[in-house]
Amino acid sequence: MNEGQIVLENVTKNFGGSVAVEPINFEIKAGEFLAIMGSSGCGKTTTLRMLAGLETPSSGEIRLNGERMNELKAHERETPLVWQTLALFPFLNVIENVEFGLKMRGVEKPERTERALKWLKRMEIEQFANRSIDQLSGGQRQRVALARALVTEPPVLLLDEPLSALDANLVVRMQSVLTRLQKELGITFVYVTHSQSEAFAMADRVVIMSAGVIEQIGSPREIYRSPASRFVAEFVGTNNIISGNIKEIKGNTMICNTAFGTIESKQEDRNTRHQKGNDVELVISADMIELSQEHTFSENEIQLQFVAEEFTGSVVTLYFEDANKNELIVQKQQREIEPLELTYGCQIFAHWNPINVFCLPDVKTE
Amino acid sequence: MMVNDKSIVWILKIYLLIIFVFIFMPIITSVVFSFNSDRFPSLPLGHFTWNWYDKVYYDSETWDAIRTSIIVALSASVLATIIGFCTAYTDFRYSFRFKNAYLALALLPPTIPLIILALAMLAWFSKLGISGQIWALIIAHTVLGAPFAMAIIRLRLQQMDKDLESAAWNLGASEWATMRHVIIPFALPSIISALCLTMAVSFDEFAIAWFVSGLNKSVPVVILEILQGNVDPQINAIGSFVFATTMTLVVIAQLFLFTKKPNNH
Amino acid sequence: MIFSNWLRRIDGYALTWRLPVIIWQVLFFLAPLVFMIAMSFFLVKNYQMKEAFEFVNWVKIFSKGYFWSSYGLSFGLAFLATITATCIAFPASYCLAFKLSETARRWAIFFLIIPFFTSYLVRTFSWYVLLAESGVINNIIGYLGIGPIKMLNTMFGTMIGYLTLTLPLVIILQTLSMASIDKNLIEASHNLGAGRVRAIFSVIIPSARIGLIIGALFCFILSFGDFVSPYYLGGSNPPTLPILIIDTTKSGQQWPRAAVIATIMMVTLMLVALSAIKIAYKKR
Repeated sequence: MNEGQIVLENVTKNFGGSVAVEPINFEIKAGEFLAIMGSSGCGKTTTLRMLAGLETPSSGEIRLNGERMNELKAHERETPLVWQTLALFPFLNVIENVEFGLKMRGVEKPERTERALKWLKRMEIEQFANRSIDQLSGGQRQRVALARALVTEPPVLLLDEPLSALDANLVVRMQSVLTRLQKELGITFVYVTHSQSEAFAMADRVVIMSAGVIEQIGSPREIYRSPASRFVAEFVGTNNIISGNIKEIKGNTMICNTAFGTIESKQEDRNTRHQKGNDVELVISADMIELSQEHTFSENEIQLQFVAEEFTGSVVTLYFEDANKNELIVQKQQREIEPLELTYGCQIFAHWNPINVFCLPDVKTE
Repeated sequence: MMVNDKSIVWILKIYLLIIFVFIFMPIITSVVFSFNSDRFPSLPLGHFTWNWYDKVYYDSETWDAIRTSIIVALSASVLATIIGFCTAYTDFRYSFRFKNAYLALALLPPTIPLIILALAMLAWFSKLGISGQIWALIIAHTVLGAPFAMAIIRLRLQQMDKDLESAAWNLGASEWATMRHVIIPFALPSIISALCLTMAVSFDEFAIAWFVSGLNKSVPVVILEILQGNVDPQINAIGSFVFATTMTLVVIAQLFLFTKKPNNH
Repeated sequence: MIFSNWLRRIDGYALTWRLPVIIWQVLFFLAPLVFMIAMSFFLVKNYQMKEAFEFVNWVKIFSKGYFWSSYGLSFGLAFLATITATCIAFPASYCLAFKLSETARRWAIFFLIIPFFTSYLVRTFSWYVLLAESGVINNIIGYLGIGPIKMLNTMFGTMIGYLTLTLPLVIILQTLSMASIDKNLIEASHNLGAGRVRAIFSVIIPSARIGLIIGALFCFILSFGDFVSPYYLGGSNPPTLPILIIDTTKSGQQWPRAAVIATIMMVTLMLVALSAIKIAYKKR
């Protein structure tokens, strides 16, 4: 069997009486950039700490390259971690911090210095080698933490919300540093974050966790375009979630009764697994809705009243209501909405393509 | 109301000043009297003299006592700091059943009156056959000093990022290596503080020392014995010397405790 | 099976740090106290102590009138010192906590720590010289036409000594507990029309209750156990319990009887501490 570099099989973790991680299963391929995303307390950090050996799984098995790791002590593993607090040693200077892992492995001083310097150069902070940690800026400390973790040239790097303490503009810069580094080194990155933008910007695949359970695993695009559960739909992007009842299923087309009238959903293999009469929730991504001043389509179009707007950079979030005060959210680029000449209370027509309407929950084939 | 407010604040500050004068009066007068020529000081003061210091300097009993005090203070401070460090680290790192009882056992000694401990230790050490030996004094002062050392080191560990220890394991350091390369270097300022403060505690303690020291008199025991005799300003000279010594220790301790702030944001 | 499981779970590293204090305190702190209590039942024959289990010493001590007068005196003096120190310290702590800057407060606390590390004996000797009939204080008030006042060998002298010993600690504990009161709470009480005095009694004292009581408790423990002040400044007439312990141990060679007195002192202190803690932490 050809399994991934890291395998988690029915892994659970309890703290005293409370369950932090329900049985979870997933694989991480060698050289992959995997993000584990979720809000605080969802079990993402516990999962990462189990990979590092800082927590022992309550049951289940973690394998690295096919070998069971559960009993391996933290210091016997080659899974360095970049900490949220960075956890740099305040009593050591920059180069001593970077050398730490090598020193613990018994590498002689000259070689240690040489290898540490190489990584300081690579992270473009060699001029700070003899500075103390508190003389560095946030971004520079970040680079020291990365160099310290990577100096032993590990097969896997674990990162626990490493960018959460940085300014917004620095975050974007460090994201590109991290993705480039990961591509160049070709090693596996496991990146825990609560930030959707960080996860989606960097990761090849994203694991979404909630209350100790994996909600969905997939590429950022898959998760964004076809959320598997209500939780994911609410967590990623801006989605309209509309409750409804299945009126009819014809092949891959499903027609539902909702507060907005009947809504049609067209999905390749997903809809066939549902049954007529079931209560479902339909998801329409806010940026997949078209707006126009005139009534143009006979189907998949509703008339709405403009109530509010919210600017976030170049993207505008628009809030609409139908005659019965049901809310619909639409996201557009600023330049796209200018021709619509929106004024509060004006009437507008919203249209969408049924292939962008998803039905929740995603019933999995057994 | 505002005027009233201001005058009340002034009255309070003057009151505070009076309290401080009361607290420091005996310390200051003892230093002043140690240079005063009168055997029984009164106003107006006599003339300046080194006489009392000379007397102390040429008294071999005082020098024996100073030697004993130094040996006891050094040994007890090292032992107390080691025990205090172990306890502080245990409290910092672990939680376990009966931890409250454990901490109570570690921190209780300062709440027992010294005279009771003195009697108890005198009896116990006599039974063990070490009463009157310098060991008795070292052991007793270690018991007294350990809680202080524990408290000081615990405060410092409180400031340590909990991830620091895990980070060291994660980078390949075993628990023992982490202790040597991370915990002890981090706690070092507080370890030095604890050494100084426990040394000062030992240097000043007289009740237990008086009971268990036998012929190995420490400096405070000598003071106590002079005090039992006649009024002798030698006490002021020795007292000023002890004061200078312990103050130096306390100031060093405070410097290490407060100027080196941890930086791990 | 269970035993071997238990053996495997032993963590040598953890025990290395956990055990030293247990071993040391059991051997050299608990054992002496327990032995002292046991010793109170021993017998003394021909100046030799013999291990036994007799109540002779207890009966002897309890039947002596001078013991009860000493007990009453010690308790009364310590109680008086506690009330006095608490009341004298309160305005000073109030000023430190609310009327001074953070920096000034930190310096003040630094200075209040200094006395702990100056010889209490030397400080007592200074008071002895200052308070004497021909001493400095009577000199000064003599210029004003008053006195001389007898201060040495009186209860006043003892109190001065006790306060020297306890006042800094009481002020520190009171200040720390008052400084941690939420300032908004006091503002709020002022807004509700409470005057300064009302605010002190309705907000500050209840909020700082734990610190005030712990300060008072330490004052009681220190005064109750001190032999220096009542002896050198109070004249030891009648003696307090600590002086009684010293006399019984040093000159009488009656260690078991001293142990009885010490045990009674310990029990007294434990009861006082328990009731103080109960008052401090009781729900209102």
